[in-house]
Amino acid sequence: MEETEHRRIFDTWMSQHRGLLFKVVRAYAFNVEDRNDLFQEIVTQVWKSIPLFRAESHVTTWLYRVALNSSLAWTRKERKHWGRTQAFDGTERALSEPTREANPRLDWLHEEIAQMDHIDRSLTLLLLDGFSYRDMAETLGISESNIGVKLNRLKARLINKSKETNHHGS
Amino acid sequence: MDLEELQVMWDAEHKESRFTLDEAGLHAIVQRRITESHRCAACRYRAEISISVVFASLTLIVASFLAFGSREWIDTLPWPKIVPTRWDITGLFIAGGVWLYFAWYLNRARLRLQRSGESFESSLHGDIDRALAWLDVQIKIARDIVWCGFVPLYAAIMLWVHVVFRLSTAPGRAATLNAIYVMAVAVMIAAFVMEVCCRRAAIRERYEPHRRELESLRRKLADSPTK
Repeated sequence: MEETEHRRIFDTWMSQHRGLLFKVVRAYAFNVEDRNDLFQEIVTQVWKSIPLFRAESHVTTWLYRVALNSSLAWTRKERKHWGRTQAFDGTERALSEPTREANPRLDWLHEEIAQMDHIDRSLTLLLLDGFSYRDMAETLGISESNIGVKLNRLKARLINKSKETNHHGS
Repeated sequence: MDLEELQVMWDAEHKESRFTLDEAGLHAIVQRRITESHRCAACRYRAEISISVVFASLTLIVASFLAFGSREWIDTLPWPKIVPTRWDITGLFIAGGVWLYFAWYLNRARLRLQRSGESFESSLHGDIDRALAWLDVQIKIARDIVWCGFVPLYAAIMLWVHVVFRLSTAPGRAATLNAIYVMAVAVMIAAFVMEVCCRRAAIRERYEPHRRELESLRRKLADSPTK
């Protein structure tokens, strides 16, 4: 693939689907430095994945797959850096977070997602973004029936937690 | 809140993005990270292989000079201090050969690591399997390298040090050089023990816990909807 074509696809994906990447970043990284580091890691993997994209799946499914796989690897790498000097050079930031009004309900949802393990977190992101069972199965590499079972548990858990929070909050 | 409400709330975040992206700098960041990742992955093995090849080549060149060079010319050089015997020359050839073998062994390990992640599907399941395969190869290399790599390598270094010290010992200075030789051997034994301990610690504290974590993820992902 030519460099200009590679670049064009990358720019298009970044402008059309950046929101999807932001959501994954927010689900996996919990401070400004980590979010920047993870975002850079994901876009680097997206860049590398472009020649492998065969258009057999939707771009969004493909990007989710790349982003989730990058996040799993990044989480492991990040754990290695715990207790050492910061791995990320904060001077070079791709993302910035303007201050904005807090949304307690959304923050609650992000907190719940942050407490999940990698598999539940991936499934929750795909569920909330309205992906089909087929796309979820393709992204995670498991059968659709298994997705169904796992999703029922997840939905029940999220709804129960939200009821508990409302109950205690009110 | 029901699921629809959660989804609506989630979509609102999507519409009104929380982050601003520096698009102009993004390409430069991606290119820098790609260059860094290529450099890091290759540099450790490359450095070890290069050092082994350089030492092997130098040792084999010196051994060849001593074996096939003219005696008169060798006598004019400041080193060796004594006439090398055929055992000295054989020792240098063996040490050089083992260094070359070690470089080959490391290169083979590098290729095995590279190939370990090639044949997996592009999904979370595939990614976990790929990481597990990579870890298995890492653990195998960390175990095998002690007997198949370090033992011959350190034996070769001892042999090399022995021959070089013997050839550097001028009559009358044997006591000083022998003391240095004993110290050098002690340092090498300590280095060998440290290498072995580091590999075992890596297996015990890094690879095995990571492997258990990945296996628990894989179990959770396993295809068993009836359970």
